[in-house]
Amino acid sequence: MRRTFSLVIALLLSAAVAQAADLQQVGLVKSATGEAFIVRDGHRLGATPGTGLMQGDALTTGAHGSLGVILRDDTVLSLGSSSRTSIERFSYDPAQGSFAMVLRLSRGLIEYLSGKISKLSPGSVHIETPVATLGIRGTHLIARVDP
Amino acid sequence: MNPLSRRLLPLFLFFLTLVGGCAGPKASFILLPEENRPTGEVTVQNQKGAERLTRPFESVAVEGGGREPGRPVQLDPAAVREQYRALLEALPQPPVHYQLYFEFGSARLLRESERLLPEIARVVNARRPAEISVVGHADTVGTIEFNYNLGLRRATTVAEKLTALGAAPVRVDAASRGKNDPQVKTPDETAEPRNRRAEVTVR
Repeated sequence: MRRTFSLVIALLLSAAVAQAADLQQVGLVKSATGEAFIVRDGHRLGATPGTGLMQGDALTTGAHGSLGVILRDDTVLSLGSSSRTSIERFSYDPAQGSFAMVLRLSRGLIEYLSGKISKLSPGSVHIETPVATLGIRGTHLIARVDP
Repeated sequence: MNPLSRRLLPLFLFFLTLVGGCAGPKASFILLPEENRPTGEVTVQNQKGAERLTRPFESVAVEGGGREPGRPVQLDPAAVREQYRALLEALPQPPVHYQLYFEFGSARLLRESERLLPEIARVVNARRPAEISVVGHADTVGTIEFNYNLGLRRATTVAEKLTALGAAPVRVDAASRGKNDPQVKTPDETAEPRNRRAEVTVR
């Protein structure tokens, strides 16, 4: 029984509605300015602070937008204006030794500060762009894609 | 310049723009320093080649889809901070971690750990919207099942106490690793205070 059970304590939180879907959450919107959206299953949602993020979500910002997010492995990200980044893959399960993160920056700017996946499993973090892929050990970086 | 080339020049420039425009997106990457950690490493790779960034403020550009990554160049830190100020300011604060310790075989916190709770609750509310994750652990005395349950009781106890102290996170996760992930490795059936713990992450 080496599994780790993860439990969401819904009853503890009168303010928050914790659902089973929460277990799939990979992160949280911490801050947003201007036009900031999450594109999920083809629908566009407002990316307001406190919104949960799922694998497959694309984060987008408009000409005056920016976003700050934090992922479940403690990775911290910010998006600049006119940017689009999707969370292509995210797996953080220390009990199973399962670690993977693939982010795809299609346009604009992203700042990335690594969390635990990069620490526990060097080589498991990739940032894809239209012209090159980044393999990451550590670390802290800015990536920029101009159309 | 003869009349013919004068007439052809705009046409030539037009095609040049067209070819330039077809090059598609470009990218550039800058390695930044990390607080309290040595700078890591980034490999920039495509079908044409690969380059490595190993020093703070080193940068590599890729000038188009079919182009190899350029040679790393060293940028001026002040210029980078100025150019990307809005992006750098939008980066959330990194998470904060706490270790709390418990009495033997119990979900009762040691007094020093109990005293940390108000501070943790304060940090949660100062970082709104915040998430709390609590992972409970146990030493190796007892069965796997017993220690799994003990770790979970430790985690839920901490989560309950934090909310009772007024912490208002958007989400709480409580999980247990039982005796599978000790802070200090010991043989089975070994009492070890440092392994009777809960790790709290405030994001």
